[in-house]
Amino acid sequence: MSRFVRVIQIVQPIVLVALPVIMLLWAWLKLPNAALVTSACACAALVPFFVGFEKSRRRARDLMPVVVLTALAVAGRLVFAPVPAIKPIVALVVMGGLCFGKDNGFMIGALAMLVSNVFFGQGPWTPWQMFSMGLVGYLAGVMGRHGWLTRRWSIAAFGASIALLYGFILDTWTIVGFVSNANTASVLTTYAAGLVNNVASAMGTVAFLVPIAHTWPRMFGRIKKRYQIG
Amino acid sequence: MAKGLFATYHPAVCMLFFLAAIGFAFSTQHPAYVVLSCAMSGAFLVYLRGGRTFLRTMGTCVPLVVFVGLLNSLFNAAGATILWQWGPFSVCVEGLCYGMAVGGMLTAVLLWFACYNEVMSEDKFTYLFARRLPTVSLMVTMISRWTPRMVSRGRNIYNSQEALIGGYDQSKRGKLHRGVRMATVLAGIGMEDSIQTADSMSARGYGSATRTSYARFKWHACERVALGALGALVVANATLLATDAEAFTFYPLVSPVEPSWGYATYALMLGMPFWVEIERLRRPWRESSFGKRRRTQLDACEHE
Repeated sequence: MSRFVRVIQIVQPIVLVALPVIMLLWAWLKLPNAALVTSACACAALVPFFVGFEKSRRRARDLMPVVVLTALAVAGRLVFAPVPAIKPIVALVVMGGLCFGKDNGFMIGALAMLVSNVFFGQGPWTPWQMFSMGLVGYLAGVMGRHGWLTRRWSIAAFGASIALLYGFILDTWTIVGFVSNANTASVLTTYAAGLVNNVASAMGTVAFLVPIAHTWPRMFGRIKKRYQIG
Repeated sequence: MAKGLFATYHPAVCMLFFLAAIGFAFSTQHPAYVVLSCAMSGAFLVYLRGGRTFLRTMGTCVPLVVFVGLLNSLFNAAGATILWQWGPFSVCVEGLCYGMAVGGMLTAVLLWFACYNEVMSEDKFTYLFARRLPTVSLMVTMISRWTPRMVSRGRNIYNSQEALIGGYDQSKRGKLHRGVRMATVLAGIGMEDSIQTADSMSARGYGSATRTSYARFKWHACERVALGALGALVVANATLLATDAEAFTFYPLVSPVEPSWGYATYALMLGMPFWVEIERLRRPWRESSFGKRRRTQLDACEHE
């Protein structure tokens, strides 16, 4: 591993924490152009992850888990498009991060949102969706590495809370970016409007994660061993 | 294939134009600029895809725009002219104006993104990043190939299982169970299959040297001129718009909209997709030949 990649590995978690902090500070200090600045910051926050992935010089085989799982997540989002809120995407990203590590997890999440928005329409939300879904995969990777996600209930609980966190980050961005002079009433209204969607998404994630919580790590473990990847 | 000469321009020019248009649209709530941005983005979308697409896009924007507009106007007591008060809630004229301006700003941004989706097809996007991020853009390309493959394989599996077993448990639980099993099967097949792809990539030399890329888009003289003009207009707008936005306030009283040169330069900048068409006067064949060739190629891809 080159020195550059090691430096980037240190930068990544700092960026993950720094971006939400910058967003909240911007709102707290009531600085202007919040929507523009926070979107630009989200784009910038993706850079260390993409460059780090690029510079780690993977073999063609090592790219494949990300490609397949991302394609599956996008296909899932397309197939489930008529049913709002319930999407297997968070469950798949969690599984990807859990089985293939934090770097692959981030890429699965970020690319899944980027590519699926080609079908659903790119918008000002794309950088934030990419960042938040990448965060889902990254955290799953970190938790998996520490061996905290082995039991079925722990994976389900993690999936539910991370799906809620994803919705919470995006709702907060809506407030910071588009509501000026935000007060308690407008903040609560926004969270309440997103609540139904977020809870349904968390429930859908749990419903998807529970049956695959044991089978998928086993299946991917076998594939990793057999083809020497990951 | 999007209509017009602008869509055939080098992706970098298109990308910079959209960055400028969206960035400026985001950065101001000055009513004149908001109206200009809405009008130009709407006109461009109608030009690209016709009125029906425009109406459909507006239809999908309306809930978000109304929500954000109401949120900004209802819970805001900073204005001087209070219309209506009920407990802690008060509605003032200034708040309503501000809500409308924010809603308009969001509409403009969403319309620009709709135009972006028409002009910047995925191949152009990956072309832009092919040299800086070769691995990631390769992966984006592969993912967009694998997605329809996953959907069609899933449909195959579903159909053949239905034919074999005959009839499915249509309850929610049964559907979920089937979806999960389908995803498991697809992930398994996908992994095994993709390893073959990866091996044949390696056998053909993937990763043995720095990736090269070929130039699909050329920098014509007119594109350089257009880019220079865009740069100059961006600089002019940045200064003019900043002074106008500084002078305009919503609270406590909405200030009057003064005439300004900034409106002209802003309209000129946002009108770039239209004024690049001047080139046709000089070379009337340009879009017709290039566009037609690309269009047939794209049709062939879609029929595949």
